[in-house]
Amino acid sequence: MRLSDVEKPTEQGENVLPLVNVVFLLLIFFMIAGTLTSPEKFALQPPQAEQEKDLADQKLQLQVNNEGQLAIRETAITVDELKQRLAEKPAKIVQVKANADLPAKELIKLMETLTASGVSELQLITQKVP
Amino acid sequence: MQIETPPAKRNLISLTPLIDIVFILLVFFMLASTFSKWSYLGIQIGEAEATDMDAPTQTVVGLKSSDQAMPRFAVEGGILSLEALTQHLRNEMDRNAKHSVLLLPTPDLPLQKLVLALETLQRDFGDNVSLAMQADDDSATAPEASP
Repeated sequence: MRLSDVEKPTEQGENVLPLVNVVFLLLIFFMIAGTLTSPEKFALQPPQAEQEKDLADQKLQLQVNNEGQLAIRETAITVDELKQRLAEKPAKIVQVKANADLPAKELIKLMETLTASGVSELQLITQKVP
Repeated sequence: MQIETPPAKRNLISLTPLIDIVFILLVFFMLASTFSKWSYLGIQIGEAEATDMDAPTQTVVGLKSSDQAMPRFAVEGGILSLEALTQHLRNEMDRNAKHSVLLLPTPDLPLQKLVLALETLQRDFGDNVSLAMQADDDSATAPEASP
């Protein structure tokens, strides 16, 4: 009678092992296949494009919503603040993330601001065509 | 008196805290990671004057919104198909390799159509394609950019 009492916990422990194996595999999958991203102010759906060019990290990334409001990471900024930031920390390349239905005039307006601030390349972020 | 020591148990790490931590890590990575693949369309800006001096001839292509994915191309008052436009631009390029193409999107053209047009023309004509805004009086104004 006592023997069975002692054996129970080890049996349970052994039943958990396949679960732990699967959870470990899932963990490794998400760690390797996924990429961690920094949180963003606006939920944006960039336009789709066929070409593939790897997006570099460590570049200034601007978010533009359909009203033309700007944000960097989680903070909204005004055009004047952007100009000031570029004056303090000049950047040659600026990445721009915008919705697929953003009116062209908003992009051109932003291009004007960036050109005046000495930016020479604008990288418009696109998604791969599924 | 002889005390019998129980047989030594296998010294396993207790599984429950391990599973707790692994689960927490799993949930963290599931929520924090994304699988979207980002790419970019490079647009050179800020060298309008140099572009103008190098390009004595220019075709101005108005981009107008349409029901299809590709915007309509308005050249010199007429609407051209993509094939006709490509052919027209090839002929111009044969005459002058530095012939430039200026895209003028209408103010409310969705970015998706602009990106598609830019990407398509960029594939054939590379740096000769530039982008500007359609002003109210229909004349090309700064800023100017070439992808």
